[in-house]
Amino acid sequence: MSVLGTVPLVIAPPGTDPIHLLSSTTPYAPGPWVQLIASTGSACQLAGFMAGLHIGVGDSDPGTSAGSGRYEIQIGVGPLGGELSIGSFLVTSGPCGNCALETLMLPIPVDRIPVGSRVSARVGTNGMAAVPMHLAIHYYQSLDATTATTGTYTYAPYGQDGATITPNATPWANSAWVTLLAALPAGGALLGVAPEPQNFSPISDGTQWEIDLATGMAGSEVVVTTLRNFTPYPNAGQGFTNTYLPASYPITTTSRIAARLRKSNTSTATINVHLIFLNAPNAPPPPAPPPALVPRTVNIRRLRRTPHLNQTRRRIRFSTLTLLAEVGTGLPFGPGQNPQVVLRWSDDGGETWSGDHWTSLGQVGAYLTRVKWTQLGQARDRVFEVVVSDPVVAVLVNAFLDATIGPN
Amino acid sequence: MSDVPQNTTNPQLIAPGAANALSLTPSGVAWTNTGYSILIASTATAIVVTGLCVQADNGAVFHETAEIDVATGAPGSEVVVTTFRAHYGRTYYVSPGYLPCPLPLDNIAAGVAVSLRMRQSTTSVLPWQFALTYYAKPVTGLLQVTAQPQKTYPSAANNIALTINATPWTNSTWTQLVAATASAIVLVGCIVDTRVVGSEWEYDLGIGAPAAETVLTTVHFDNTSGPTGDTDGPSFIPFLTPLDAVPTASRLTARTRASIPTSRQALVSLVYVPKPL
Repeated sequence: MSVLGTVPLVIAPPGTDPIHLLSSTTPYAPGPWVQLIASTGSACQLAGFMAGLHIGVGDSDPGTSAGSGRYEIQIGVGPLGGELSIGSFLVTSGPCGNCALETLMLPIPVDRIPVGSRVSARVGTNGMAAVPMHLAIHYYQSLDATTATTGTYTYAPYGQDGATITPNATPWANSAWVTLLAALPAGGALLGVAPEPQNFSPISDGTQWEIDLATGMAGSEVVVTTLRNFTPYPNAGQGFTNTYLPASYPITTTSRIAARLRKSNTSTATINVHLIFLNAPNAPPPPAPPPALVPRTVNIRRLRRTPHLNQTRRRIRFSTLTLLAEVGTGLPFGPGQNPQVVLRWSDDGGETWSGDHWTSLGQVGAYLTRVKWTQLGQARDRVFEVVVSDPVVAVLVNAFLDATIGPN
Repeated sequence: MSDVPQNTTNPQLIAPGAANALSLTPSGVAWTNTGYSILIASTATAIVVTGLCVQADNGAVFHETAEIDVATGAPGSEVVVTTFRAHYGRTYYVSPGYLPCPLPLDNIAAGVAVSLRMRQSTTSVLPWQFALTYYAKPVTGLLQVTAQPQKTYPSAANNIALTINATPWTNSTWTQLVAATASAIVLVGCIVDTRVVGSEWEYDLGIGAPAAETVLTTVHFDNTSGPTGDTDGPSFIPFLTPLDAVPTASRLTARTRASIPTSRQALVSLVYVPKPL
């Protein structure tokens, strides 16, 4: 095996318009999944995207242009309603005048799509308006090269705008260091950076920039590599600013990752920068879920319990319990991606309890999720209990019971 | 497959580093070289070239294709060691322009001068800016390199026009790009160039005799431009897993399909590394 491959890149969907994605209205929370491949004929390796933000004529569903922003594309594997993300791919784009090619090849293909998989995609963005993206993917079928990884693409700061760097007013003098990621676990690897071009000032003046990435504690940073690129010229500001290393930089001990910037002009307007990196296979998910979804949701067990359901000790047959709750609140990644609510009951005054009966509160954007349980048996005195412990916003409003009473 | 197979803890370095990029002014004659300009006066160590930052001129020049040679040697004795190619639908709208080397070049010794020159398809004499990225040797980790230069099909000539099928998402006929490759080659990328407003495209690169072509690989891209069909650049789609499927004396071809009925132009060029690596 070598880094050279002999199999072709293929496209999904092939020979037709790209699929149409729509982000949610919560910053960095993705919209609904849209299917790309019904069932893969072999193990597949994701190689890149055509992430169309400049949507216009030439497509059967033109939509509107999304333009400037930060976009998190997630590729999912799994059946409808059970999609699991295999990576979060950040792309940043300037305020399009004319746009560049919106084809972005990944520096390392992702080998996490088994044979027979249904493959989907969804997108989130930094704004609070739902914006469209047209998406096609480039991938290999049974790639015969050693270039792919089973690690997980992600970025930092995760689920929020990039870390803020205040440039030095002197051309090509370094800024101060800023933290991009508090701790990248061993086994991960640095892949590149994505500065936000609309932040460069004056906008689109063709600024030349360099960004150093470093490891080490604050005040003891050691430069490990450097990336360089340009910002666009006036009236444009288009194209993806993702800038990748020629080879990944492996992290062998858990490390803080910091960045500093220098550039060709004197502006001190702040610039936001994301780190693009690879988590090792089976590594924990990114450390900072979207802030809009984080507050007061971690390590809290929410429990609601009904009063005793007792009709003069007559037998009650319980057919359906429906929970009225806020649904579609799953996180884009990691624990809470498919948030669960568990139901159990006691028929003896709380002395003993049934087994756990799990159902989903809905992945992000699944706003039509119904939370209900059926065939709940019978009892003369019952208490139902529901619990949510996933790190998501959990709003349990009410519950409705379908039951019949008697005969004894 | 292994995880993170291409990796190194060498820092990537820049030339010129922490300074304005090297400026080259085109010759003013289409596809005629500039003189060489020194980028590195003398390399401190042997180096491995990983890519080139390119900033096209800011002159609203339409349909400008450029090649940039990297050379070593003293002034007057330069020898080309690799070549990059880029295309801009309109240079007023240039995007961040980094041209990676999918197979980094390991052919520059310590103590040599490194220079650049360029040629391009128009008569514009507005300057372009360049910066080289590289590793200092020795390179630790796992990195496939080559001493062979990147080359292009065509070389020092305009992109090759492809036939077009006017029916959306229907294949065109194949257009020959290369009658017979001079050696086995590894494809490391292609330049795509369409002049059709707001359209989606797939290009198949093919191999084989007339009427017996098979698909080597496929790329999907879009033309996002305004009424002149001038999507900006550098319009280079790298094959970051280089494609090693072209034996010597191969006939290379390409065909297109697009999302809209069109009779306007679609063009292509190839970037490759000759074998043996």
